[in-house]
Formats: sequence, structure tokens, C-alpha cells
Amino acid sequence: MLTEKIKISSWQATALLMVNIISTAILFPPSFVSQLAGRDAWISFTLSGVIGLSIVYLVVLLCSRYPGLNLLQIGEVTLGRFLGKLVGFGFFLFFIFMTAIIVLEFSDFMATAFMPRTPLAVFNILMILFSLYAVYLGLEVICRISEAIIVPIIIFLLLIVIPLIKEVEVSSLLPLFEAGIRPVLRGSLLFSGWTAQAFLLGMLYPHLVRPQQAVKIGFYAIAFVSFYMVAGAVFLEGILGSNQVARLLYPLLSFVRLVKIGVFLERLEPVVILIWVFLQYIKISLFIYFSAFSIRQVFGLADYRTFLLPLAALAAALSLTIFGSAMELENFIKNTLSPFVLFFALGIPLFLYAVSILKKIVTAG
Amino acid sequence: MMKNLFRSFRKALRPQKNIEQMNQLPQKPDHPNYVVPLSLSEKTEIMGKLVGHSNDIVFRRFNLAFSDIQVIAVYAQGMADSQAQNQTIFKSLMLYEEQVNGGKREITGKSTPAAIYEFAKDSLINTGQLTEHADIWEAAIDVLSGDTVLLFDGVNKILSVRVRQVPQKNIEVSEREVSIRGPQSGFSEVLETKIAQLRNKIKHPALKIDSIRGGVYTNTGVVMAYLQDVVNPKLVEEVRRRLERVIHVDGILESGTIEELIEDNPFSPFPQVETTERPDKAAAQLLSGRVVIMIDGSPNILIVPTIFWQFIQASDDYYQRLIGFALRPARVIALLLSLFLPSFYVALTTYHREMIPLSLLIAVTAAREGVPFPAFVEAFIMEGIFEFLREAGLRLPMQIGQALSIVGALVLGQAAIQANLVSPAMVIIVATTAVMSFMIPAFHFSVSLRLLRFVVLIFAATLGFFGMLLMAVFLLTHVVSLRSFGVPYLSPLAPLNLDDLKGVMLRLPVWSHKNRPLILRPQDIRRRDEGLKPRPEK
Repeated sequence: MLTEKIKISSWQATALLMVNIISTAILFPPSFVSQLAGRDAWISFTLSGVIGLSIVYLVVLLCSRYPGLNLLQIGEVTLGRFLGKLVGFGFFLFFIFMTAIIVLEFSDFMATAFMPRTPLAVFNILMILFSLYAVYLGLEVICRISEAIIVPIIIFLLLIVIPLIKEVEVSSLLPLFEAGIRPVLRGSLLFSGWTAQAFLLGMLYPHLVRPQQAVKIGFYAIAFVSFYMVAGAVFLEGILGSNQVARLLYPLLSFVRLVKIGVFLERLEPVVILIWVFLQYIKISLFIYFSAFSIRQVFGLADYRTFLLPLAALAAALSLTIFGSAMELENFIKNTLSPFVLFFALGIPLFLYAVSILKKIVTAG
Repeated sequence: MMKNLFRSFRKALRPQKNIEQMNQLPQKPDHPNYVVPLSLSEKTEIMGKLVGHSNDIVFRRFNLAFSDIQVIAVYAQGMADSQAQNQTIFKSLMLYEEQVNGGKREITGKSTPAAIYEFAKDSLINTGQLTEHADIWEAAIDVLSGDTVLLFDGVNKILSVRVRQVPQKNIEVSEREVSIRGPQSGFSEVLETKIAQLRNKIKHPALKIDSIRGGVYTNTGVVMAYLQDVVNPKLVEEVRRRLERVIHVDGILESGTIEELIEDNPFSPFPQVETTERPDKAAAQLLSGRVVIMIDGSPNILIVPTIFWQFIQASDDYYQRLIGFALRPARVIALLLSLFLPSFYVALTTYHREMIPLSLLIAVTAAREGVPFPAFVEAFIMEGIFEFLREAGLRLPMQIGQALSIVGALVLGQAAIQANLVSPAMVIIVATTAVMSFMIPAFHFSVSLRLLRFVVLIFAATLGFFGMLLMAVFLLTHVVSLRSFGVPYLSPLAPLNLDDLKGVMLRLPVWSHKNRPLILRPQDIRRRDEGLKPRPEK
């Protein structure tokens, strides 16, 4: 099982990254970014796309210096055994915390929007248990699920917004930069917590069939996400207005309740649940996989599956205890998530890259 | 996951192999006793032991017309075609003078037993179906299969003349896989006829037939067929390696036994081997670069490797224009509906009423007025009864089957609604589900869908849409992880292969889809030449 070579095609990697970013991006960001940037939210989304792209470029630059190694292994090579393991453990913490946060986001949304009388623990535990199956089967299977569903999911995602196209008033997007550029930048910084997750490319890199396409993969994934978010922001602004959007917790869901296709096809919430469960399932599996993978890397285990059950239990426990209430979760996402992600997605790769350049200079000199 | 879990269990439960017992099975061809001895009496003794001294085994001792050497013919009474036997063996060996008429041919050299044996073999026994055995076990198997075996005194070889009279069943119209336009004949039950039927479709030296015998006691002929120029040689090796398992079971009575022995994931609810009884389908799959496995005694043959989509394809799709193009997506929808429709209804009416548009909600609620059960119980009972009806009707003779359908339609449909036990809406849902499941051409695939439908239903009843979709994504994970002989089950969708995908999802015109399925890695990729598209002549 261990020696089994994982191969990921470019399309699979693109689908995986798309699924990964868009899955949580459709939830809070439309509301939070528009709280910060108002009607310029769409500019914020574009800018964070650019930030995400530069992170992709950095990670690919770093990984292409060490072919065959992923981000954690590069850490061990450049920083030495001890520091490298420390970085690896840091990544483990990152992944397991992210798992807990994603799981909580998932169950919070399900409970708030659809099943208010079901306790969060039910969603958390079931979701983690079912994801374990995909994690157990491995990265390749996770990739295949995402490529199998990505096209229908994109169609459904468009189905939510396209019927409303005639309602959009583009004029309400003007004037640009009403409150100056600072709020826009703050908004883009907030959303770069999502686009920065494209740094997972650094974990997939050694498995890519065509590593030379890595930048392209990241570009397409981020371009799609940014495009969708920008379109979403324009629609929300043009239909509801930024004041309204900022007050809604899940603006895209409110959209769905507005959609009416023909005379009888309305109430598309089942579609939302479908998108939501499928996307989150993949994202949760991927993050549990990576936390198990980092544990394996740090402790030099033979198989990443060894600690799968304890890890799942840990993730479930964390997801139930880490935040006291939905308010705390929202505050965390508003204020802390982006720096938290950026530290691991941008900070550490940048540091590793700098060290590897320095090392080269030192050995050359 | 299951594999590892069960491995330890299996280890604990596995009975200790009794080596003595293993040796008693008349199975080992390399046993020294099976070397043919020279003397006739020894030969007779060993042969008697091997074929088991049954009453129907005849040992007919006779003299050759032209020599004093004694010969014993061994055959199973009733299985041999006595006319052919008399004509080819007894007449030619015992009435040699009359036949050769003046002796145009002479026994060359001295009249040693070996020379006489060679003469009898080469010049007298007038049939093409003649085999020579140096292994007495092989000869014994031939006797038990209905052939006549000749034991010559003083010769360490055995002649086996094929005169078996196989209980034939005529080639019949394939009833289980109906085709509107395609060839109507189904596979015969007899292996040789099946091979002939296949050769009739593909008259090319590239069609190779490899045979082994499966089952310790049944000694069933098992054959794998493939197109040597097309198929991936590694696939052939893999199939051959897996087929070796069939030697070690006691009996092969249906190809289903082989299917269970060679599939990749034995715990999956999804069938991983396609079966068919249509020669044209088998030939089509051979042309795609697949391997076909046939057994003696059953019209059902196996096709490997199999992908998910094969189960929603019918051979008619390929014989008629346009039909396949429209039906493929329709069958995908039918498949999803047959799996999820009852669950969707139950989840919607139990947990998510706010999602039903108002006018529809009123209609559904009014229909459910007075029904004493929750929607889940209602759905479960109705689905269950429907499955029971179907199963009961399956094994009944045709005449009683009609009575059953009256019971089903009137008593369970009409009366149940009038008694207010079931809502009309639920009957519509169950009926639609049934129709959808009939849309799927492969029976054994729809069986697994039927079972899974209940699992999804339970999840939908406990957790609403969340449970239903959780189960859906779980099934997707499972399907995506399956492989059939190394080929991912859901390919070419995941992993994606656009060229294959257009052949699977859409049935494009014959001239436009030029390649064989690439996922099978065939040696010869091109299926058709360029420029076959019909154009008006200039």
C-alpha cells in the first residue's frame, strides 16, 4: 500500500483545488467581504485571486527545485531534521485545526439553514466518519471523486446565479472606491485566506503526472474561484445591495430562495445541500488525509492510516470544543483565519525558499 | 478497509489443511502413477481406479483384425454416440480387411505393438477428433466426458477418440437480453458451440482461445477468448493468472462462480464483471480489447475488464442510429432516480417541507391525509412489497405469474389506497422507481441498485437530505475506488479520458468515434480508418 505510486493528472489536481477553495468560499466570504469592502467587494475578490496566484507561483518555484518532494519533505531537506520535523508538526496542527473549522462550518450551516433541531455533533461525527472512508482509500480516490463531480457541481453553482441575471442592476456597482482603497484591500486580505489554500499544490506536486503544468493548474483553479466569487459579488450587489448582503449570513443561500425557473421550478435548496455535502466531504477528506500524512511524515511511520481513527476522533473533538458558539466561529473567520492560513501558505514556503536560495549561495560561495 | 479487517478473521477461521485429504482427491496430474504403463492389465487396473468402477463405464476388450494385439476400449455408456463409435473405432479396427480391400496400406516395419498402434492411429481410425495421451489421468477425464479411449497392449500411449454425444440444447433466441434490431440468437450452453458462435462472428486468426479445466470434480471446460492483435497482453496474463483459481474449487456450474473468484473487490455491492448471453455483444467487447471467459454448461459468459457504464449500455444502442445517443443520458438519469427517488420523497416530506413549492405541498399533504404511517414506513413497505412481488413473479411459471400481477396491481395498489393505508403519491413514487429500475439493461446491476435503494432510504429517513447525500457521496467514493482488472470502475469519467468519455456518455456516429477504449490500453488503438463519413459524391 505504501509503495503504491500516487499519480494525479493535471485535470484531477485542478478539480481538487477548485473544489477545495470554492467549497467554503461560497459560505461566509460574500457576506464578510462585503461588510468590509461594501460595493467594491468584487475588486477584493479579484485582488485575492492575484494573491493566490502569486502563492501558487511561489510554491511551484520552491517545489520545482526539489523534484519528487512535497512541502513537508522540502522542509526537512532545507532546514535539517529537527527544524524540518517542527515545521511538519506545524503543518499537522494547521491541517487538523482546519479540519475542525471546516467541519464546524459545515454543521453550523446545515443546522442554521436546514435542520435547526439536529445537534451539531451529529453532523460533525457523521461527516468525519464518512470522510474517513475516502481518506482510507487514499489521495487518488479523493482526486477521482472531485473530478467526477466537478462538472455537475459547476453547473449547479451556475444554476444558482444565472436565472437571476436579468435582475442585476450593474449601475449599483458604481462609484468605485467610494471609501478609498483600504477597505478593498482589507476585504481582499480576508478572502486571500481562501485563495491561499491553493498552496496545497505543494503537497500534490510530487504526485503530478505533468509537474510542468503546476502553475497552469493553480491558475485555472484560482481563476475559476475568483470568477465565481466576482460574479457572485456583482450579482449580490446588483440585486440585493451591499447593505443587505452584509447583514445576511449566507447570501448565496438567500439567492437560491429567490431563484425561480419557469413557473414551477423554484426552491432549489436541495441543490444547495447537494453542492454543500459533496464539496465539504471532499474538503474534509483531503484535510484529514493531509493531517494523517503530516503525522506520518513527522514520525516516519510506514503507513498514514495507522493513526487515522485517533486523528478523526481528535478532529471531531476539536470541532465540538474549539469554538464556544457560532459567533466565535464567525469572528475567527473574520479576523484570524486569513493570517492563520497565510502563515502556512505564504510564510513557510517563502521562508523555505529563502533558506534554499541562501544554502545554494553558501555552498556555491 | 474491509479487506484488512477480514484478513485477520479469515486467518483465524481458516481450517487447517489436511494434506492426506488433499492427496486423495483425484487431482494431481503429475503423480507418478499416471504415467501410462506398457502392460494392458496394469493400464486397465489404473484406468478402472481413476474412472471409479462405475456401472456405466464399459471396458470392451477386442482383437484387431490384422494383429494379435489386444485392445480395450473404455467409454461411458450413454455419453458416447454409438453410431460414430461403431463407424470410427470398432468397424475400422475389427473389420480392417474389408475396409482396406486388398491392403493398399501395409504396416511399415515389424509388427511391434508400437508400429501397430501408429498404423491404427494414422491409417485406420477415420475421424479428425483424435487425441494422444501420455498421461492416463487425462485419458480418464476424456472417458468421463464421453469419449472413447483405446488402451493398446504394450504401448505407453493412449488414444482418445472424440465421439461424445453432448446433451445439446438448440441455439435459442436470447430472452433475457432482448434486442430490437440486433442478432437474435443467444449463446448455446455447450462450450464448443459457443466457441463456434464466436468464431462465426470473428473470422480472423487473431481470435485466440485458451482453455483450462475448472472444478476438481466437475472438470468443467473454461475458456478465455481474446483478439491477440488488439488486447493488451498484460491483461491476458492477469486474466490467466486469476483463472488459475477456478482449478481449486470443487465445482463450476455457472459462470457466476468464476465471477466471484476473479473479481477485484469481493465485498462490493456492485458487479465488477459483465455477463451476457449474446454472441454479438461478446464479439463487440472482443473488438474493444476485452477478454471473454466462457464455461461449458451455461449460456452466460463473462467479459472483463468491466467499467460502470457497460451496465447501462444495450447492444441496440450500437445497431440503431440516434437511439443510443438519446438513451445514454436518459439511463444515467433513470439510474439516479431508481436509487434516490423514494429517499428524496421521504426526506422532502419528513424533514424539508419548507422546500416544497406551496401548491405541491398542499397536494402532497392532502394525499397523505389519513394515512396512519410516517412516510418512511410507507415507502419501506411499498418498496419492500414491490421487490417481493418482483422476486416472487420471477420464479413462477408464466400462468401463475399473471395471477400475481393482478394481486399486485389490484390488491396492493388500488385497495391499499382505498383503505387509506398508502397515499397515492407514494404509489406513484414506487411505480416510477420501478419503471426507472427497469430502464437499466443489466439485471445483476439493477439488483445491487435495489438493495442500495433501501440503505439510502434508511439514511434519508433518519437524517433527511443530509443522510441521503452522505450516502450518495459514500457510494460515489466506493464506486470511484473500485477497479476491474486494474481498470478504474468509473473511468473514463474519473480518471478522465475525454476520448473514451464521448464513446461512453454519448453514442456518436460510427464513423466519428475512431479509437478503441484507451483505458484498456489496447495494442491497436485505431478502430476505424479516417474519412469514412458519408459524403455526397462530386
